[in-house]
Amino acid sequence: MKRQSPSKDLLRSRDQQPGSSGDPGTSGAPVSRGETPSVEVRELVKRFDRGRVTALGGVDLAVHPGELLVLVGLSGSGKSTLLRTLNGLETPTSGQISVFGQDPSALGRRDLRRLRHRIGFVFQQFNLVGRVTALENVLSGALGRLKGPRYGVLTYRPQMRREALEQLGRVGLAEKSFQRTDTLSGGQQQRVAIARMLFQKPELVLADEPVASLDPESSRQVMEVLFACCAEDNLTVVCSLHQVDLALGWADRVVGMRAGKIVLDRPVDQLDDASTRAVYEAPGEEQ
Amino acid sequence: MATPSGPLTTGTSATPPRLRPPWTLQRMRFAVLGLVAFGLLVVSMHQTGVSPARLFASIDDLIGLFQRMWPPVYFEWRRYLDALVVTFFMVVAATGLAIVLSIPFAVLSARNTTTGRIAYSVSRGIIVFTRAVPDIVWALVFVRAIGIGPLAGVLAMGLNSIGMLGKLYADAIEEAPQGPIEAMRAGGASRIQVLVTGILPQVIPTWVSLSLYRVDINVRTSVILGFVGAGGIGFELQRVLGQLVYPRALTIVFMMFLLIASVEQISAFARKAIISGEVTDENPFKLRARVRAYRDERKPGSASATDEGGVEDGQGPAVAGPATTVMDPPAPGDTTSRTIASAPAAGTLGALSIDPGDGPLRPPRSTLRRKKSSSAIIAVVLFFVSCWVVGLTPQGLASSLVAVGQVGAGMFPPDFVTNWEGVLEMLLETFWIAVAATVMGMILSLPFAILAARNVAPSRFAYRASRFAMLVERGIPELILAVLFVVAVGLGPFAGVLALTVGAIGFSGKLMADAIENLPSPGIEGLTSVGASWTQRVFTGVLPQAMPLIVGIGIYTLDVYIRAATILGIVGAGGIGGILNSTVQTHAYDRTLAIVLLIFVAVYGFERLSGWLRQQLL
Repeated sequence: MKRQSPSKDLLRSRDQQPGSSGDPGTSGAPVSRGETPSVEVRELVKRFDRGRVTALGGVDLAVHPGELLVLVGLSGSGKSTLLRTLNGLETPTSGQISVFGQDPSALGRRDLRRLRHRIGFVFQQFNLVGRVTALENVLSGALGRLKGPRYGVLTYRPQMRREALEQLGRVGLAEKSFQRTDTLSGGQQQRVAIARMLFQKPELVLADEPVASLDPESSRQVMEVLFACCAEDNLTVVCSLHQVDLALGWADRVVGMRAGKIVLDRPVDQLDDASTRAVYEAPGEEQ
Repeated sequence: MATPSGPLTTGTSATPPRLRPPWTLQRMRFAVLGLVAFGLLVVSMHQTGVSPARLFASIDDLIGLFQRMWPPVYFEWRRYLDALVVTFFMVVAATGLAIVLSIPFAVLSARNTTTGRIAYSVSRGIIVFTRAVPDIVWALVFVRAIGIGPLAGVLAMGLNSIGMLGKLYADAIEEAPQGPIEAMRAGGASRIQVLVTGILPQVIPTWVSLSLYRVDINVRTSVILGFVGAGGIGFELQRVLGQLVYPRALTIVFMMFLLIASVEQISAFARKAIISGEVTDENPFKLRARVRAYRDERKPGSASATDEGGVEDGQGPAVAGPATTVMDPPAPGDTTSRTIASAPAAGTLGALSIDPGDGPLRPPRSTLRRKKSSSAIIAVVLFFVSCWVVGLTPQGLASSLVAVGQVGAGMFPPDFVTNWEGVLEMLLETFWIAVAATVMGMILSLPFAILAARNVAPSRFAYRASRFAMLVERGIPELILAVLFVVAVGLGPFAGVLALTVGAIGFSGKLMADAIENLPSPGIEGLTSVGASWTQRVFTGVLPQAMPLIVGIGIYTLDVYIRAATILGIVGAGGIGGILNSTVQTHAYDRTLAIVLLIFVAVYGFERLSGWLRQQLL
């Protein structure tokens, strides 16, 4: 699996030079990398309910290869919508998206599958098939690179099972491989979901509040596993979180959202309590 | 809009505190429904000739019939037993055929797996049509098309089953948790992969238990299909009733009952086994131990999630070696955590001694897995044997399709004109039979249901007795009941109403009992703790909670009974079935089609109406 394959960014040529720092739309976060962004969105707008609810009100963001970006913000600030738009689970109302140089909302079914296979997604509710074993859930991460349907662990080649077991080992659950997933604790289930994501061998990881339904101790374990594995595999990560402190020591950059707009965009070493708190202040009054 | 010192319960500030609940839309709907149900009951009783006096008189008639039948005569039992075995194989073949044919329709008619609007509408239409035409009407048609014999019955039941299985399979697909499906889509899985890996494992238990339920239904249908020449035990019953030898009829009814009851017991046992396979406690992976282990793990102070091990034999906790370092808490803000953390990844593998070479790559052997695969194999083998017995071969299927095509050609153009007043009158009578039987049946079966709900029943004896009454009642199909009631009280809708009313004990009663058993119990426990009596608990704790379910079951019963009432006439118990039967017997297929279409429109229309009603009420 090749990682960080250089991809031509179509949006870039129009708007900015390679290597320039973050775009003018945001609060000017300096980005220290000179590579083509893995993800770039521009004036992204998403409305629900026939336009009555605005989830994203013009978001500009660039994420660079290998970067670990943490999205913070209140519930309903648009974090999930942003992440879901990036792999085509939602279609934007307007604006431009580029993920590895492709616009997920403009792709045909097959191309979208191919793009999605390069993007790992970790869900808040784990989204595992509860009735089957942990290993089978991990194996299902490979569906994007397999042809045809699979039912049961034995329908995957032994080599794949071996690799999937390794990924379960990385998240510390090797000995739960053949246990039914719905009998695992919440933290363990999320680790299974992370193993599934890792087994997918993505280049970009989107994590949508991966620990929001877990207790503090499990949360810490899960974030530790997620970030450690992503760092080891040198993956680009965009992770929405409620507790920034879980990401300290791992995150390169923190982006704060409020009411569908980006209100904070800073490298983590320039972060102070006041600016983080500002993100969580009562919504309504803009800037 | 909080008004100063306004009560929180109601919006208006000037009124004194409310002592009766406000008329919410929901309450008004229930009140209107109650009135409508009562009005319908009165009208329908009038229309079908049901009156309290006549109801009491019918008890005497029934006793009279029973005396004429007693004692049963056994001397033809070999012949009946053969017919019974054929009936059983008819059921298996028909259900298997229906399962195979239903799956594609279900996939296409589930909103989350369909391929497009056209596929959705077409498959929904086929599902509704196959279900709207009663199996006995299909049997009439198939008997005319391919001749007397079990194959006609198999095709009839198989086709009719598609309607139910297709719809319920599709519902199961729609109700499956969407999370895993979304996750697989997000990982780039194709439509068919999502279907097989994401949806199938989630719906299989539901599908299997629905299919078993359909076996129950088909076994009850199969015994009556013989009435129209579609083979099996019903043919024998029709023969001896035609000869007016009632003691032999009792023997046959008794044998039918045994078949139905035993198949139902077997399928209930199988369903229970499936469900218990879902229950974590009985999982062969020694879950209790594991649950305890991870509860311990999550206690503060115990650092590791991997204190237990022994996955090779799946035998529960065993000390498996050192705790993994991934889980060790780093100091907050630890700048070196990145380097620490890449070590645990490897360390974890080491600690758990996962050697990629000889790790367990297949699920451990377990009793559950063995049971699952052996029952699947048995089911498949049984299906093929049944197909062979009843003559359901690809050639047989093809030639019967040709024959059906020929009868089908005789149906066009449908003749709506001949005797249209009679048809209309009988359609209305059908409706009134269904209404009267539904309302009376719900009233009759509610007490049974309360007694038969394990969590509510006042004693084990009451529970057992009521469940047994339901089982016995369910063991006799409505059409057989109708035959017996016709013999007892004479031809006409009254016999039909009686048959369906009594039928509700086993049908609606069981549905209600199961629904009550699934109610959340805390409310009932709360009442026990304040010292409420059993009746108080039933009326205050159970009925209000169960009311939406009871109303739902009532609407569903009416739905089912409208369909059931359309065929009562075939045995002379009133309604449109009488005319329907005579058109087939006189080869007036163009009129048959017209009536079937009218029934279809009525059933479909009522289904929409009841769906709407359900939405309004629940």
